[in-house]
Amino acid sequence: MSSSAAAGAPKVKPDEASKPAPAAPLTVPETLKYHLELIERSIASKDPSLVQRVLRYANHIRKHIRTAELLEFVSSNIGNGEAGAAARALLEAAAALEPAAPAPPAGTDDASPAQSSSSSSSAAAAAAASDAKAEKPAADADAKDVPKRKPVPLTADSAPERAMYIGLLVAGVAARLGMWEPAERHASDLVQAALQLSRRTLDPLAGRALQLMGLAAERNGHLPALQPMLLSIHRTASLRHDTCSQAVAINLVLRGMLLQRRYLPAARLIEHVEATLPLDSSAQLVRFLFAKGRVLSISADYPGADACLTQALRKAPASTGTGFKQLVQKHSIVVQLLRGIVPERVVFAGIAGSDGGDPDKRMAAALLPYLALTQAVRRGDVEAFTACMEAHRSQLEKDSTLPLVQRLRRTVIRSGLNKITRAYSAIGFADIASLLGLDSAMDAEFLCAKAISDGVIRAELDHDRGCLIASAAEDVYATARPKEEFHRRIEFCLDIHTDAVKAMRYPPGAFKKDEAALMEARQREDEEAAFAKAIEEHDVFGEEDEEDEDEMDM
Amino acid sequence: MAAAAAASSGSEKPLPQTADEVAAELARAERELSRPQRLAQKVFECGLHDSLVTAAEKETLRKEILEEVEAQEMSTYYQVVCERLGWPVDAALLERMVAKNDAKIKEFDAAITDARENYGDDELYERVRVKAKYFVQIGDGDRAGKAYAELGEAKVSVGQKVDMQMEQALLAFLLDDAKEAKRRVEAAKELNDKGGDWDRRNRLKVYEAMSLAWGRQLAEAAELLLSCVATFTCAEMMSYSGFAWYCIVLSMVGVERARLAKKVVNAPDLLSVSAQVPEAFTLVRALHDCRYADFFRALTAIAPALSRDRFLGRHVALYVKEMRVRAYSQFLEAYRSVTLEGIASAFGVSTSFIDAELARFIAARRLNAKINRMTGIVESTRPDSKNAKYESSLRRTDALLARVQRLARSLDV
Repeated sequence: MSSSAAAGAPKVKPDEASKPAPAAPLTVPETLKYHLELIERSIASKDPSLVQRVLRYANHIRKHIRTAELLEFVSSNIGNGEAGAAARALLEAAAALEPAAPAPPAGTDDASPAQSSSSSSSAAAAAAASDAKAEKPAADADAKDVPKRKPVPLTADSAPERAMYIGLLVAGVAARLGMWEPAERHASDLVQAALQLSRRTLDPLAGRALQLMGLAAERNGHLPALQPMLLSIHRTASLRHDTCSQAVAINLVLRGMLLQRRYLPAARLIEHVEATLPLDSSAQLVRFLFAKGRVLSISADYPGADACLTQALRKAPASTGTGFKQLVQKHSIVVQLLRGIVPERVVFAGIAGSDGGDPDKRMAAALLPYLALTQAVRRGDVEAFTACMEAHRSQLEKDSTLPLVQRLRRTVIRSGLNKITRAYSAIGFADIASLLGLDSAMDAEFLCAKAISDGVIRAELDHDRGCLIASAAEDVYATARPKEEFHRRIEFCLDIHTDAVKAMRYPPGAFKKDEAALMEARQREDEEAAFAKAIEEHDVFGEEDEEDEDEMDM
Repeated sequence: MAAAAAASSGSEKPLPQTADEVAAELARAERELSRPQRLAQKVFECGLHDSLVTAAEKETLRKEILEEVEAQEMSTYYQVVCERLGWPVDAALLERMVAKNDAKIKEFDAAITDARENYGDDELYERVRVKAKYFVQIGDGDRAGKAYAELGEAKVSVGQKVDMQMEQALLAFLLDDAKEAKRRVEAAKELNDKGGDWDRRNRLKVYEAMSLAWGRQLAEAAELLLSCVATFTCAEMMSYSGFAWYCIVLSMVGVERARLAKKVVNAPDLLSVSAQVPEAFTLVRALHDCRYADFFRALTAIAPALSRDRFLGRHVALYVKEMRVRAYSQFLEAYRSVTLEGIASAFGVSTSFIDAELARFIAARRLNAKINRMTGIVESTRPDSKNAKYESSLRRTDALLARVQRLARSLDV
């Protein structure tokens, strides 16, 4: 499921070319028919981008289509074979579950489809709510251009793809209505069919089906059990160069492992697979990065985890996948705290990316427990920290951040110790214990000892008097450190300067003006040379002859 | 001019005769100007917690607010306020006001059409302006904005353009829209720099100061306010005593001792209203005279007023913290070492409180001292500026270099 925009498809100009406003919105059946035509054209012209476009709209349709409409569509488009019957049965069952419809939005009028990533379909977080609000109007106007096109006849060439697409919609609708078991079965059938057929044009659709199957399996509670099958799918897909299914399969396996908290196997899998995993689809890349980030954070490689998680956040889709982004942000905050970095305030206001954007209230609300934790850590307030952790324990468990947060306790204490050594020149262990909420003075003494040996604080312990004596602030200028630090930074700046100079280019067209002048100058030179030559050839007397001739004429 | 306006408003009152009457008349006229802002303050107080504003007080305020709203026909504002404070909307009242609004708007529109057909641009401008001002009066931000936008293109003097921005800024202050207020003030300042007059400039300074104070920039606000102590003419925002209160309160945040003494404690202009702002003066004098126990008492005394003020209410915690830091650092400047007990008794608090306070602020690098818990002595440390500058320069350099690196990467260097 590449996220590349479907730039390949020729845009049809609407007949009323002057009308920028959307033409009559398509009804759902018309849209579906159009999608089938797109699939047909994609197979015929071997252009995968058309299928990508269909998939992009698929999420939107899945969320808004009525089972009755889909049922009708299915009946008229799939034969009466087994698959058709199964689909119809599924939809009939689904219709029973469907809540009474408010006026359905017809086809793809204003609320146009989600962006390419399918991350909103399999809401990556267990805590994620599906967001119908996430759709943004797509710039794509071709859905509105459709009625003007000539209908494309559907041939048997594209039959498997079309069947798969319809199957996807059916399974998707079932999933939407909460019928996870039938959805899983249906999706699984699709996946098996795709494996059998081994058509490359089927890959993107099969990848979607696999993702849906994984989601349904997770809801049904047996995603981890699918691991052997998923790994075999991965092997097959790798052999067939089916990049979509490869990525999806691995991500699902990782997800299952993380659900079971099998971090070591997950780490090993990542190690083995990372180099060759085709992560063109940013949706899959982002999932992989998140999994990797989590695994690294559990194995205490905090800088590595921080890098993965920040990258995941940066590459996450802008308008969908809010649940996923919230979860990644939470992990990112905790990992940064563990690294000793306090995340900036703007992060908690829900502003992604440090260049600022608009604060996202939902993100801000989701991050509230983490804001409280961060404040406790920053203040070095162990009591507040423990209280906060207990208060939000269930949320932390849901987010799977609890083990990391528990490790934060040490950070809090260290932060507290830091503040103590800054404020006090000498303080007893009993006082330290009460300030930090520790059990006893002896605990405090040991903690201080450990902190001093780790280089967190600069102080001395006086065991006899039972106190910590902070060392005087070091005069850093008595060491060579300033010189080294400044040198590093200056070197860095100079390197950038050199690189920038090396990378300078003349702007395009800088010589066009000069070229014209050059041409002119050259022309003039040529003319002058010719003239000079002409003068040379006629020697001086030649002109006198001419004068004589004139005289003679007269 | 205020008195003349009052006299020409149709009443047959005789012109004031004695100096007292003149003063009273002026004061009354000034209070007229600040009606909307005082209304906003009341609305703010009603929205506060019961511990700050009792239910009984809120009831009185509510009556006053409703009276004012009806008198000024503020239909839109009424709805906004009801929503904010959770009051049930009195449909009959709303209808009455809307009816009056509509009637007046019809009149204005008729006058405007008339002007368009029969009179010139100037007259047209005047009449549209009247309509815009009416929207300001009823507190309708949207319609006022639209009306002023129409006027924006008119060929009028810089001064009048500034006035329009300022009217809109006042409306934004009323409607609690800090961003809009800031925008309008900025726009007005730019315009005024091109050719406005001093009176507008001074009034704008007050607007800007309040906008800054709203946004937690207390020290900057103080500077602006202090600069117009002698030339205060901004009656539409607040009375002179209100202004003095803000001056004193805010200047204690950032103004250093010598200047504070000259510009606030001993300032004749401010002293003239000292009777009306006793709490503020007690506070600043206590700080100046190093009477720290009195200072703390005065601080607790003034805190409720701070919380109730619509500009400073959100920043009370910050303000009180800044005051404490200032007091402690002023105290410690005098000593090389002092016992914890000594400090505690000077401030009239317990030793453990002082210990915790000092520890907190020292750790935050606001105070230059170190506590020796074993001996109970606090020692002043001279701030080691060289090391501190080194640390801070490294920090800022790193931040800058990170941005340079990002830039370099994005430029594909």
